Amino acid sequence: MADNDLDKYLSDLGIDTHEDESSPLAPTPYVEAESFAREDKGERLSYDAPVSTVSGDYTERCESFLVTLLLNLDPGYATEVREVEGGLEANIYGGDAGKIIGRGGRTLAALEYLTNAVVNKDESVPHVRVSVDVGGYKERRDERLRGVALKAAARARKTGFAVELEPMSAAERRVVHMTLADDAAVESESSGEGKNRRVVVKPR
Amino acid sequence: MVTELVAFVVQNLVSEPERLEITTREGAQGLFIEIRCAPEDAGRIIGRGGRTINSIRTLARAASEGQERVEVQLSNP
Repeated sequence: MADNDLDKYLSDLGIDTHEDESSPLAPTPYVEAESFAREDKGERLSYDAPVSTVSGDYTERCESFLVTLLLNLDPGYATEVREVEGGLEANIYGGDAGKIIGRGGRTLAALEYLTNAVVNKDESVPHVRVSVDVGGYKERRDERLRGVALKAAARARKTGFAVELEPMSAAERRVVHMTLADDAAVESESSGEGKNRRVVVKPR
Repeated sequence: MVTELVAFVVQNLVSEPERLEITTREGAQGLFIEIRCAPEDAGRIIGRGGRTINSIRTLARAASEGQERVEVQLSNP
């Protein structure tokens, strides 16, 4: 399916592909669901899933969750989890990387969010931050964003005017802010709402 | 595969996985997955601002590879 077709398909479903990850629940899906239910075509089946929950320490829970989840997406995926400072780093290899990244990294963001929720389910113990990457996708994205940030900083310094960047997700904006955090000549802040939220780089 | 994936994720989010009821309906419009859970688990499935249920939907749609429309709904009594 071409990107444009996919966009149209998704927008027909009431899904905004450019929606910010942190935006509140869009009401559309529920309306869709009701019309789905009203149609009442097809037999209603009860799915008796064997209860399968992950256990062990943070790393074990993270690994078993990702392994089982990825098996249901594509058996070609392999995953590796390692402990890093401040949390866990999971990397997914093999299979169709694009499928798990999704448009603008949306599927990967969803996978990472759910992995964090599952690994940190127990609220009585400290939480760890789990970062999930697919074949170095986030690494390449962050590298590109650092370049964008430095270029904007150079322009703001040279012209004395604020430079506004393209709209970005929270994770992407974070990389830009971190890159410029120690820059004495410029400061960065986010402005705009929802899918239009973007970083503005200003001369100090 | 899509239903298995949704069931597995939800089981690992809730405190009472034994009380989950998952029903599916495959209609002309696509696959409709309905989840019922213990009342105290609803918040864990929905998440702040609906972020958890929306992430489940995103993954379910990735699993179906655009072959069919997928809707996931939590409908507690």
